[in-house]
Amino acid sequence: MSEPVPSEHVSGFALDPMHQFKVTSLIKIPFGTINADFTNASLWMVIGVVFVLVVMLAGPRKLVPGRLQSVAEMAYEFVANMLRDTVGDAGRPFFPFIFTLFAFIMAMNLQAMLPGSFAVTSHVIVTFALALVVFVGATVVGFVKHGARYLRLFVPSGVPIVLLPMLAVIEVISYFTRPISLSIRLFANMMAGHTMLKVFGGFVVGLGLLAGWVPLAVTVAVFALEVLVAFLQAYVFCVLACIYLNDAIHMHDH
Amino acid sequence: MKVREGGRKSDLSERPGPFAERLERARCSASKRARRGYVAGSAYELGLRVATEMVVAIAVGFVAGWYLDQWFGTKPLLIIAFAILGASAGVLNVMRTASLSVSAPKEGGEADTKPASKGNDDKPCDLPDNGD
Repeated sequence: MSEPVPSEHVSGFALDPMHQFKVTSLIKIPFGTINADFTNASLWMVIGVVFVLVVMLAGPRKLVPGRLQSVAEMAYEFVANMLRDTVGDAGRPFFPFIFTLFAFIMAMNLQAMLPGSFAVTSHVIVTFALALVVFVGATVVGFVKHGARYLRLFVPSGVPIVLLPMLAVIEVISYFTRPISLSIRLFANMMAGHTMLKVFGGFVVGLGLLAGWVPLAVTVAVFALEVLVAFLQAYVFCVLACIYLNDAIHMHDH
Repeated sequence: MKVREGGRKSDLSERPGPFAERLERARCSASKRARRGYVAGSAYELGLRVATEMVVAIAVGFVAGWYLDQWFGTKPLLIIAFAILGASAGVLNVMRTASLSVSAPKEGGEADTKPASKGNDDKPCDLPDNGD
């Protein structure tokens, strides 16, 4: 890594920090006009799901947990507490969904930190699909629980009748920003972090043995930050999903 | 770990409290502390969140206005109105985001001033914990 590299190679490496996000087909699957190929993104999703399954299901269940079982129990407790704190007991039926969401995003974010892996959550379509499931799900739950009265979410109380139409429109817009801000936040954090790592990694190679240590130190620090961000973004995504669920179940909050 | 437990011992003897209270304190474990860490650790994150909310709301208003304009054939009017309404929705979202984290900033501020003393700022919340 610290050996002198021909300069044209250096510039090619340093100038393409976005190459890591390229989706390539591994197995072509003919499916009409729809592109249903098995891509590197799909591959890493499968790897992540298998990893979660191994952590959650493998190993004997002992009274005194081993390492793997501790991780599984901690993850369970963490999500259960999060759901109970934000939604309360009414949120219990949604635990499997929130846990799956958390485990999936967490696995995707963390495995993206492995060199050579693929950051699935740095693609806005993936995060948007997840956010859309949360959004549509919460809306459906709201309508099932409250019927047409759920629309009163858009009617703020104690407002002069003149201002009401305008405020209702503002509330509707605010409601529809939810899935978009949810997905943009996760995707932007992941993409920014990985791009930054790649750029600094390019600096290390470019500056070589002489001054490459400085960006190398920065890379190590950014890497640590990215591991934190990987956890935080999974957490934030699920907390916001819980909050939206809470709004749908107990709609008197605002 | 040892030091922290020693420090907490006096704390414990100060206020023994009924069992239910201690149980409640014991219960708010991982998630609360994680949230506190989240709020304390990343003002940057909160800033980014607020900025996203604002920008996204304006964009949603803009796009909604664009399509409604095409639908009703009122070319420039609705896009202007909805961009403004979107900005208002953005302010609303920012206020909500801020009020969501209102319960935590108190501890967050404390933790900011003395980041090293972790045992200090979550005094009410981690009595019999397995530490971290």
